[in-house]
Amino acid sequence: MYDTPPSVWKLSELLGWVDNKFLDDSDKSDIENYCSLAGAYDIISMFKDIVPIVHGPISCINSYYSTRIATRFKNQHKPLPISTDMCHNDIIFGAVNKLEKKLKHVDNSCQPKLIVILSSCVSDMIAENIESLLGRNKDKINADLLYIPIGGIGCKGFREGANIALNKLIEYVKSKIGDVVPEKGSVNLFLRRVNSKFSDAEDISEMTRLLKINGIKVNTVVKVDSTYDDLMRLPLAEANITFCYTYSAEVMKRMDELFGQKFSHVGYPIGLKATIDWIESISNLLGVPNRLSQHQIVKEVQSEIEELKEFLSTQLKEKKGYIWHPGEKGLSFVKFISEIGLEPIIIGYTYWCIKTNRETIINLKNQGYDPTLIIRGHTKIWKQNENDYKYAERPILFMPKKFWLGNLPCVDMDFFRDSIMGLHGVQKLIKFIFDLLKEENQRPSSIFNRYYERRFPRANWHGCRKKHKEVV
Amino acid sequence: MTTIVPNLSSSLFERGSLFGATLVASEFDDSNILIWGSRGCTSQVVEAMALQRQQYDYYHFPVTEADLLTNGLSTLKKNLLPMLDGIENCGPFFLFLSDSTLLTNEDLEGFIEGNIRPDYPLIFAETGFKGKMYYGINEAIHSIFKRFATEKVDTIEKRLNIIPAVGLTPDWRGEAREVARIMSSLGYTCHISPCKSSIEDIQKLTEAEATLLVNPNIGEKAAQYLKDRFNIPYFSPKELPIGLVGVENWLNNVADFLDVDSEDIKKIHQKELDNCLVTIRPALREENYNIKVNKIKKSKFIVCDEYNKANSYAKFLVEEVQFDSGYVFYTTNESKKIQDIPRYTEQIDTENFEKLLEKISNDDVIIVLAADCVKDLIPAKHKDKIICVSHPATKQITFVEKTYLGYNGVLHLLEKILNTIVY
Repeated sequence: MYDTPPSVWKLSELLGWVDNKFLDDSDKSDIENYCSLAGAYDIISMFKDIVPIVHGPISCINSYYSTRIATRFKNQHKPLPISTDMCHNDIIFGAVNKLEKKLKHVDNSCQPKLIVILSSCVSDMIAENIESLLGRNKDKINADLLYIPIGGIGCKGFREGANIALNKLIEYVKSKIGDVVPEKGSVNLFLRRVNSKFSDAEDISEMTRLLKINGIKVNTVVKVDSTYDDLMRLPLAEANITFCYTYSAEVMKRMDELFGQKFSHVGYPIGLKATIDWIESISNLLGVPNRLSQHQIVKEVQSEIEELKEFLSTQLKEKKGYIWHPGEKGLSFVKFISEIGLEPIIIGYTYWCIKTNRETIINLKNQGYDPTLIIRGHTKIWKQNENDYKYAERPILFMPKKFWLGNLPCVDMDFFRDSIMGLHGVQKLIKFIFDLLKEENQRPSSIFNRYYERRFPRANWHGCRKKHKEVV
Repeated sequence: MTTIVPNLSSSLFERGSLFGATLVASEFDDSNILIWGSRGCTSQVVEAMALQRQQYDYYHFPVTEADLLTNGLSTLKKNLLPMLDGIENCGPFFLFLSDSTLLTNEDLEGFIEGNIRPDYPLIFAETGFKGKMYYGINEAIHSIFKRFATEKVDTIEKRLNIIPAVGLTPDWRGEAREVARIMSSLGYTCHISPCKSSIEDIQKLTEAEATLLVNPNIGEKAAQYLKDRFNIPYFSPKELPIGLVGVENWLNNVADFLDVDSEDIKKIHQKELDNCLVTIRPALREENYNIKVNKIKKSKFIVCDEYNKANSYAKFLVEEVQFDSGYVFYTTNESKKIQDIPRYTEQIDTENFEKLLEKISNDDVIIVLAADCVKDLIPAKHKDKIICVSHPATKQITFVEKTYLGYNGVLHLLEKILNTIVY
């Protein structure tokens, strides 16, 4: 076996190394390295009454559809993949006629309000004249038509594709609605861009409840299952808010240009302080007083946190909380871990994550947080902890239990599935931790927890293929 | 509200050629896949590897417009050569071209000849818009045979190569093993490839007497290569071994091809038939069984699969299980048309799939043999009637190999059908 020491960094240290190009942060290590077309498709397919048509080979959409769209939850909006299915002959003779036929068919059978045509590498490379086709069919098709050239070779990947599509939709809304007077004290809430999560409904309801305390109304929520009409209501809000700190800054900028809507630039409301900050930032943006910070419910949560903090300070010998989430939510979770008196440590990080989350990391640093990151080797540290301490003295893990076979106290949570935002989220987490440390038998025999962690083989390959195989 | 688009339902089943090629590439020990194409191609690899239950292990150079306008090969060279360090000790390294790189028509063969050491286990195949899933599977199998099955070794008597229908059903490995089991009862030893294979396995292909294709649409190009180069004949079935009659016909055809004594075939068939009947017989005494069997006689079925398999299933369901009638829906236009549609079965084109579902009343008892992706298409009341026999099985979890082909397959399918019938 190949025995390497754990790779442990401070967040600020790793940021400096990546910024100075000492580490491989190329997009080869991005596991979400999908196409710009897929990013755009993800956005367009969120809305009911809007149908995307992919003008390209069937492979451009079908595999993506089955892995990312068909896996949306039961009863959620998942329009079937529609493609012009370009093949060898179409490359030579063009496939504009096929697209025209498909447009008419979709218009008749789905009766959508908007059809969005997304181009692919192939249709871009053979320079299909789609705009002229749309011009010819404008009056023959009942739905509105929107063309987004988004072939994979022309753009920089999934995230950029999603931004381009959202920008195009917003520009379309502007062209339809024109100038409107926004309602005072109302906001549009943009959820995570990619797909939908179990926790969405609960998170929205909790944050809407807290906003209401300050007299702020949610005008519309942009998420999977939103409708065309929800989209058209976007200009009616005074400002835009998100959960995610880096949520398409350029889209928010465009919203400001088109509708004069300000954007509240703040991270996930996870933990008490982050929740108050989130609400306060929005209140300040709208010029309304922040009543929440003095509210009784905040005081209650504060005292619960103090109680937990006191408990953990006497109980744990190793006062550390390991977070298995290298994204925005994991970074925001750092604040909650610090709040309860533990040292936050994020595992599963890659150099690429530093690059994509750069803005959030700098924001976190400016707020005085500099968590430890473990790139690899965390299981070795955990096993050592198992030897050194009794169960209830060991550090706490925040991750799905099924990925860790060992016997450290694990708050069995999924950052996508479990709702952890707002004050309800804090209370839920506090309860989880108390319950966890009280339980005697911490090693459930469930077959799904008997899953050995394996290192993701993609990360460490370059130039050492054979050695890597031995490690795995 | 957006409704389901009926005539687009076939697009749920079709996949690209890179997907097909990856299904094959991921079946080799310690293999590596490199996609030379634009970013979108990755999703095909991700899906194929997930379906094959392989851990992700692929590399991708996102090709940009600049690469295509200047010289794509120089980008390839810059990225590929450092990767190949130490690769001679690993499994096959597949280099797949996708849509964009195919369009620029670069001289990849020349590039490989001039830049890559011949001892590197590099295989390249064109995928992209040239074809769909079947094309990709066939190209990848052919490429790896061509690359490693290069030297003739002494023929081993009664040795067969079996080329499975890689990735086309959730249990394709089980299908190939069932075929191998049947052939072993005739005294043959079988070599299934590609199926968790290694480079050494491919090199041994040349020691066989003949090659059998499990599915006529998969592996013909590769089998033709073995025939042309090493004079190893191949058998492409006219009928898939589905159902007792289907297996018997298949066995007779194989026997003709291999010149096996027909008496031996009769004996084997009778033995297997007896085993099946002995297994089924105790159930005859159960009231539950009899009620279900009677229900079947008033029931309809829907089969969604590629041309030959769909027709083979339909034949089994109509003639042997004795369903009242049924509908056949072909999920791909690419497969070879060999088998005819049986009586009592109506062929449904892609335009009318949803209309078919509307035609079926609440009182009808139906069984749907399909890929589980049809769950997105069919009404809620029929969702629990699906038996997943086909690709793409995106929502299917399979731990234990269970086949629907061969004699064991008959029992397995019958069991599934009876358990799906509720009263």
